Amino acid sequence: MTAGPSQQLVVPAADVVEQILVQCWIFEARGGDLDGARARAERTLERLLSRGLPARRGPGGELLLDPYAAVNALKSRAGAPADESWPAWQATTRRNATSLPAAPHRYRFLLRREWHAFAPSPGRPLVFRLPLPLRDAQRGAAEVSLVEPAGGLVDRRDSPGRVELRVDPAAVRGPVVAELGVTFVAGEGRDPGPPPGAPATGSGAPEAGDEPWLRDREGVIAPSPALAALAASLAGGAGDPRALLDRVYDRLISLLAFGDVHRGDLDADPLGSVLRLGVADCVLGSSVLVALARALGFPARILSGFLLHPANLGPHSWAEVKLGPGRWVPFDFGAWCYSAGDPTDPVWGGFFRGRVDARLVAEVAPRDFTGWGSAPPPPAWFRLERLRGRRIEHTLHALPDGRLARRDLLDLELLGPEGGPVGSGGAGGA
Amino acid sequence: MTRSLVIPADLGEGVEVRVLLWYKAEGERIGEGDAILEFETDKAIVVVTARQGGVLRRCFAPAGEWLGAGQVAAWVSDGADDPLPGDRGAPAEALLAAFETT
Repeated sequence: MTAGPSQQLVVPAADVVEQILVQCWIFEARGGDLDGARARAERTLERLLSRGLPARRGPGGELLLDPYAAVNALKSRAGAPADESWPAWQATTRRNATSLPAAPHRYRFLLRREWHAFAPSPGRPLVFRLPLPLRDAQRGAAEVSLVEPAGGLVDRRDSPGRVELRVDPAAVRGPVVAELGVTFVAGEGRDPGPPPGAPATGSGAPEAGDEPWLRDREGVIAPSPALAALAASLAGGAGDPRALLDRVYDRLISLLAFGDVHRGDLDADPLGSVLRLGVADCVLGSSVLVALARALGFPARILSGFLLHPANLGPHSWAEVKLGPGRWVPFDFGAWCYSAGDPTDPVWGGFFRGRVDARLVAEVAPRDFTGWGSAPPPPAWFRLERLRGRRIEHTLHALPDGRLARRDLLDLELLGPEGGPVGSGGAGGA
Repeated sequence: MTRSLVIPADLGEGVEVRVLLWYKAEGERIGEGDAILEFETDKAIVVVTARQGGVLRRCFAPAGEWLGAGQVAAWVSDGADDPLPGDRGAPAEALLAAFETT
């Protein structure tokens, strides 16, 4: 039986402050009040510590905390007691939610990626991957350069959704660094509805080629008694398939809180663990939603890529469920943040129920992935984020020692509107 | 004798791998220590290196195609004219090979 969330007390308090700043006051920080934003974040952490947030002293006397516990502790379900910073957190995320134009626009995505940990490969090139827009409707011009080791590039291979750099291991003297700039098109994605002439209540009957999206094992998706029971409880009731999926989505919003989860807290039944913990990040929330949809007979898949919100630029995963030929409907568990877990909220409750805003789609599981190449994730890990000037930094660290494995620095420009059909941000074809 | 090059079953139930590159072509001789195949999962790229020699007789998935964990990827025979199994799933001794994550 899964216990409560673990506490990995390995992150300096200053880094946790930066996470709180990004989550709650990034607009203020970017608007010129970085010191004020940081001060509010520090006071928030002090309050949480005074209320028992776990911490310990490191060898040098520094205060060490769990990377996720503070931000998770800030979040409260609608109507529940909350920390005084909670309204700021919600305001920040809600401002993100409405910041992107629905119509297709051109964006320029800039990524500097540093690989600090990778497998040795004597005699063979090291392989490093960067994401690119996967969908035809999004693809645009990409510029890629290997910054370190200079002159170490052996080969470059571009394919939909990724660029692969093969590097001479003899040239490597430290972290491997590459930079990517890609201009692409993104717009809102919505349920396209049934094709003309088809019944309004699509059956979602699987077609040839849907097999990968019906499997009962993929990533953390595995047979789960708890999940099967939940699916059974949702299966009854009148209504068309879209109404059924809306009920699934709303139930998830009610059952789970959006937050970070250490993968070590998941047992042999990962999704059952998620349901017991009551917390899910975007990957876990999407996995639960996809697993439920598949259990109910619908092909369903996990998409990954990048949110384009100006203050929340970063990696994200969400789901699509197939309701008929060519009809993939998007659902994003991340909207929990906007509604504070209340699916009945008239504005935010169903914000990403059947629609998503503009995103860079880089992966469609299980077969279209960027891949880790020579730099697989550490066996146990955690993530941090912080503001670095204009850019947002996302880092991946190994547990238990916190060693840096990978650093991404992200930036984004909205270039202007693009003519053409709506729908490149989410729902659509393969 | 003909042996099977098998994608390791311990990658996990239901796991698929994508073939990235065949280092040898059908009919080509493989020496001990030669790279035969490169495949990937979403977490890693694996190079398969022969631990015994032979002739590559059949490749069951070209580059870009998928194989499941436990599936036969290729047949390798001691000689070019050795008889082949009746079907891909027929029991055959496994080719000794090293699977190195790059």
